[in-house]
Amino acid sequence: MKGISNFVKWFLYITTGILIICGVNYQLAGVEMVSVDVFWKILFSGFATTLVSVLLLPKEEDGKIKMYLKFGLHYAALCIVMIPLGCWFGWIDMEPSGIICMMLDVGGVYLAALFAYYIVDRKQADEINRMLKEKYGDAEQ
Amino acid sequence: MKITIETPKPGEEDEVIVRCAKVDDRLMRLICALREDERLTGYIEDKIVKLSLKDIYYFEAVDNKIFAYGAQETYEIHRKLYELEQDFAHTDFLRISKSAIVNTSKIAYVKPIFNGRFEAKLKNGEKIIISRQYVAELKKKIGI
Repeated sequence: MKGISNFVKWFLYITTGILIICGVNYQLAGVEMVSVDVFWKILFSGFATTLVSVLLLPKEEDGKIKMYLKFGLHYAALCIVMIPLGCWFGWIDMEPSGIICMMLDVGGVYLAALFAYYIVDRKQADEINRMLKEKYGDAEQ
Repeated sequence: MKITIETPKPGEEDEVIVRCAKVDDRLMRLICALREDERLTGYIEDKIVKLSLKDIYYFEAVDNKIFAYGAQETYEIHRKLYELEQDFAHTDFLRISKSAIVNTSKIAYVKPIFNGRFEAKLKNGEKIIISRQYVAELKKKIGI
């Protein structure tokens, strides 16, 4: 159950990130109309990258160096998944500029998802701090 | 509620026996208050020190040894972490990771950090990691 809720949570963060990046890219490219299948492409990309993420994201018990290595590995794996998918979906061409664009996009989604995760945790921490203050006050005991 | 105070026989340890049909909040607060004054034996270099629970910021397991951290000092405790967790479950102490139990009354604030964990800054300036899996327990403990 915990695994499923973790998957759903990351799927929502990542898919929202992909949606935003797609929107920005279409806007910058001057695309005025998109076909309905773009939503399925976004959902499929979200699903594939969430699968990679739940498998490769650093675990809590990982030390600092291992954590940074895993973040690097995770980002590389996301690019490896998204570059062929991007070609298949017609989002990029399989040439250096297309690959670089997709790597930047993956980076953008990565940062957006981590930021969303941080915001949720920040809200939780604020709630805890409010209750700590209420229960124990500020002063050293 | 009937209250009876008896004097123990010479050589007997002081003891509080609670005889009740149900442990309600009022009784739990009383037990907590008694527990807070509980003392632990700590070892520092070649000295044996009686530690008051309210002066301990956190317990940590390091290399199969348990240490109690005060505002400045560190004492070795000859107990297991799970025993401390069980014994002090009704006090302000709470397990926050596989290797640490914190005195929640000594937490100045918490903040999220990378990798899904939280960091607690204690009132003596020390920082300690709270594993994500224990955040729900912390929230429950402080009444969220």
